[in-house]
Amino acid sequence: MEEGVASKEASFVAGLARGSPILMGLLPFGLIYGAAARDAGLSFSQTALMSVLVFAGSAQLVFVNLWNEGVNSLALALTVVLVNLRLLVYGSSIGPFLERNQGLFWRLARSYLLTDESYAASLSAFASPAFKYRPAFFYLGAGFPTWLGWQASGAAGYLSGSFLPESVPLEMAAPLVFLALLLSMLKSGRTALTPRLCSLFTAGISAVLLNSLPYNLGLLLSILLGVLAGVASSRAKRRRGV
Amino acid sequence: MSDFLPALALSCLGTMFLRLFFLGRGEPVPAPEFLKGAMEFVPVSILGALVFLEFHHGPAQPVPKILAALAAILLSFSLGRDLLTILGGLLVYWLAVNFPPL
Repeated sequence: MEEGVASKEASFVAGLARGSPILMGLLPFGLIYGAAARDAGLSFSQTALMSVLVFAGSAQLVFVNLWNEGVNSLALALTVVLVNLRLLVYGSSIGPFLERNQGLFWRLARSYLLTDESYAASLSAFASPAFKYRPAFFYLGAGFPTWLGWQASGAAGYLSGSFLPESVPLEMAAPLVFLALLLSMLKSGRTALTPRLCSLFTAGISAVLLNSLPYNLGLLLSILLGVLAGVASSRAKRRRGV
Repeated sequence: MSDFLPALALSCLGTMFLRLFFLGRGEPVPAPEFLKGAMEFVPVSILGALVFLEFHHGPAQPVPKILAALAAILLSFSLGRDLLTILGGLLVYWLAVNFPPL
């Protein structure tokens, strides 16, 4: 093992600790998914099977809605794939951080656990110069609470609907989870702050403006615009010699 | 109902293909040269877009949302703990909804 780098186990546990707060943002969506699946007439086993096999929240909600409307299998699956296209971007972005030459099982595991949450939790930690864990095992640890929380909350939502009192502000949990991860990444990043802020605000504002585009395409376009803005700002900064 | 399993199988295969495309290989796929400067902005763009969208889709009342976000930013910079940032933001949101400041 490389000197100063934590063991696989310690890296996995550190990932678990990093990924656990994300559960707070995940639970409302899981409850909603479970309740929506029951309303659409899916059985409990169908609902749970989809959570295990697809494991992608927004795509599962889209699946349930379209299935309820009687859309055919091929069109439904294509829509799910379009909604999940961002996973390609996530994979290309996080891949270079993970260890090479992992066996097939680990490659399947890390691919399966790729979600908005595991990506955000891991990347914001990888950005820190003080990061001393083995990235692949940290990433697996960060993804596991998301997996477990998604399965459990989907089942709970199916069995009992939204049983939490309305006074519990769960609808605000997801925005705050992503904000906390974003701030963590901004504080620990290696590159200059101005281009990253440029990238952030361009992506954020365009995501809201392009929100009405179908199949989550607005999100993909806004990521692209954010990256272009970051590159342009970085080049301008270099030209000015700042 | 009979369409469920084929639809689920195709959705699962399509999603897994997207996940495996980059992460399923033994060696990471090197980014093309012209993309190397751009890749460092991918994470912040993704998180930026997700944060704005989540706040946009979140609860309707703007003042509690803004107060919760400000509290989260302050807590993140002062305490540096994700869980406390989230809990603090939720508490401020709950207070702002139940005891409106404006």
